[in-house]
Amino acid sequence: MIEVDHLTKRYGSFTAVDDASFRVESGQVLGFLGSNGAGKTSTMRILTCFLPLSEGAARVAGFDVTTESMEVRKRIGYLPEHPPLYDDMNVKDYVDFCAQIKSVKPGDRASAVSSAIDRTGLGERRTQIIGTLSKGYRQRVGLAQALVHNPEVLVLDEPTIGLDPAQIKDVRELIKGLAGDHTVILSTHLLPEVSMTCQAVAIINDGRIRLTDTVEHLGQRHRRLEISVSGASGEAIEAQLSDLPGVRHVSMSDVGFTVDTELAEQTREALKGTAETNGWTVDELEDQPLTLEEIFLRVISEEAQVS
Amino acid sequence: MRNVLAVFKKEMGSYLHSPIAYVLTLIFLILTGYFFQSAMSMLSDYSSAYPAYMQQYEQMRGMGPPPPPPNVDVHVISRTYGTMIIILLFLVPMLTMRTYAEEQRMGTMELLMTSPITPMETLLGKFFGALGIFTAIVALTLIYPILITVYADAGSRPDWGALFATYLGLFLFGAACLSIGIFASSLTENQIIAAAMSFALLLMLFVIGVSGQRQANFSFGQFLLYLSITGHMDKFQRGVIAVKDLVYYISMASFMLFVTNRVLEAKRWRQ
Repeated sequence: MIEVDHLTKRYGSFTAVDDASFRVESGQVLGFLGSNGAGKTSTMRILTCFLPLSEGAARVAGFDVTTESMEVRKRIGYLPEHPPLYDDMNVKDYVDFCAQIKSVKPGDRASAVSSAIDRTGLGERRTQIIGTLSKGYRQRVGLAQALVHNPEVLVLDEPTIGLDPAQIKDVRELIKGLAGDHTVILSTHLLPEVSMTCQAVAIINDGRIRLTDTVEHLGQRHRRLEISVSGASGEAIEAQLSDLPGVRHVSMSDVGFTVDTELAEQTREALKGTAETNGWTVDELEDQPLTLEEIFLRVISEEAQVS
Repeated sequence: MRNVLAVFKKEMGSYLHSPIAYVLTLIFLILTGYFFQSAMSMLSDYSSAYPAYMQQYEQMRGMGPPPPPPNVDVHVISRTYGTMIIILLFLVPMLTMRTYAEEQRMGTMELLMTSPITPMETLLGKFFGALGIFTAIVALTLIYPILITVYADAGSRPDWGALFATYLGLFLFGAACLSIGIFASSLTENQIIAAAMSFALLLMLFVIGVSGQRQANFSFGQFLLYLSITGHMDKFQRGVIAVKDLVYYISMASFMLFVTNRVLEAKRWRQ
């Protein structure tokens, strides 16, 4: 549904997005993770045809963002970081205006507007002037604007920022409800949000995509193994464990060793082999998935070490 | 077309929901009302003094030109509408300053630029919205000639043919000025700068007309007069609808809209 191919965006001499490639399947929710200034907003602005790309290509719903921009715009709903609201309009008029400029058929407009308002929980505020709404409600009006033409693809730039916990929960429920019928990209730097709402993750840092995977896969592959090993000195074992494929970090604990790996299957296989050749006795005590936070921080800190 | 209408309605709504349009209308009517009544009282002074001037002229046995008879078109209508044009030069920048500056400051440009609507459709919607408000405000001044027509004697009512031409001229003059104001607004996200810029442009187009009248070189003077935005109102006020003046205002408005459209398209690529 969304295909990004070697996408590069430069602002003068500054490269905001560097050779990024990823894809989002139809009906999937992709969490776009990155620290501030990593290039999330630039990527999203390119996908929504707000900014031109410098190199590469991006296709949304089968249309190229550069050459078929109008077709892309009809099929995409976009909630920018700051919801683009007209403070002097009331909620209903605003959503109605958005429906008009997003080519909703005149006959379907009234129902599209009221369904967008109801879905975002704005029913009681429909006649309130937007300028008088609180931050949370403004965010919801922004969402209603993105949803009103029932787009195939939704691009949400930090949709839960500035909301209170109850509202965050509502918005997450809403996004979960969108999965299946809609393809969603949502950017965030709240990691639990991704594990709760997304099926896929892309981590971006310094303009480069560091990792793309499904959440399920990540949990299977990135794991922390607690093992006890006997048969050699601690240092020797630690050194050998560090050389196993996929292993990122090894530390000694009270009961044995803690091994963080990003290729759990291979690491386990190789560990078996190494144990046999060295005559170790290996007991696996615990096997936990790494939290997204740990994965994210590792990906980002590795980056810092390399550069 | 539907998109143009949507933006037009939104623009009209935002003019009517904000106090700007009401305050501007009030100030405009107070000023034009003042000039109208002062022209009226001049006319009445002149009418009562006219027999004396005529007597003086006859005693001089036809030396010099005879004093012109009091005439509502010359003494009231042309004076009132002449000053109205100058006041409009101040009014227009305040009507147009927020058109694009506000969208750019509030981030709603992002909504317009990511919706399936072309910059030209947005621009036309905004232009016709501003023109609609402008026309509504100017139409309120019809009360002045109506008052004269109602209260004056049969022979001294204003010439409605010339008034029709004047209002047509004001409409076209407004279209040209508004397109300049919208252009200025598209260049910045600061409303004050937008207003100052469009006022400077309009004032310049006004001043070259004044300097055109004082040029020693006749054809250069005519050239400057032709460029001046206020110079083309004279004929309309006299009741003449000349192709030259129509062409000037329409091409000025189209040219400025074209340039503004270019500015908006270029915005995307400059970021």
